[in-house]
Amino acid sequence: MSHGARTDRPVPAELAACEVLAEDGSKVGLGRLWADRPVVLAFVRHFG
Amino acid sequence: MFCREHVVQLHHESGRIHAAGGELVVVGSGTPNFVAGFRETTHLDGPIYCDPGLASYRAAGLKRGVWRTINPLGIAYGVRALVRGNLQGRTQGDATQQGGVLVILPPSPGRIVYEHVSQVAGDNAAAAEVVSALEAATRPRAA
Repeated sequence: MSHGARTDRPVPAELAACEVLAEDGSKVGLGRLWADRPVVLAFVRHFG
Repeated sequence: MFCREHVVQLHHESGRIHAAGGELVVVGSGTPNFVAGFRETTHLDGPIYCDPGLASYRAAGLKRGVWRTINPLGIAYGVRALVRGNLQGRTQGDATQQGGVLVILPPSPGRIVYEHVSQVAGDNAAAAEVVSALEAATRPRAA
C-alpha cells in the first residue's frame, strides 16, 4: 500500500469536463459533483 | 476483491467524511447495470457513477496495464484481501485499469487537495489517510 500526497492544485479542465453515467444511464458532468461540497472521489478498477 | 475492500474501508469513514461536509463518490469502469450488485456487496449507499470509456481515469492520470494487474505485489495484496474476507467477484469493467482517489474541494472548477494513484492492483490508499486530508483541508483556519 503506497501513500497518497496532500497537494493544492486546480482540477484539470479535461477531468472536470468528463461525463460519467449515473445508475439510470443518464450522463452527468463530473465537475458538477464537487460544485457545492467537497468530494472523496474514488476511482475503482471495476465493480467486481 | 480490491475494489470492494477499498470502497468498504472508505464507506466505514462516511461519518467523518460527512462531518467534514463531504461526500464519498465512487466511479467504476463497469456499466450501470453492475451498480446494484456492487451496492449489495459493499453496502455503499452513496453516489456511484460509471465510466466504461475510461476518459475520467485518463484525465485523472490513473494507470492502466496488464502488468499492473498481474504482478507479485498485486498477488500479495490479493492474498491480504482474501484473508480479510473480500472475495473476488466477476470482473465488471476493465481489469487492467487501476484506481485512485482524489479529494476535491469546491467551488468549480475545484481544487485537488489529496491524490493517490494506484500503482498496481490492490495498491489502495488507506482510508484514514484520505479522510485526514479532507478534514485538514476543510478545517476552519484561525483568524
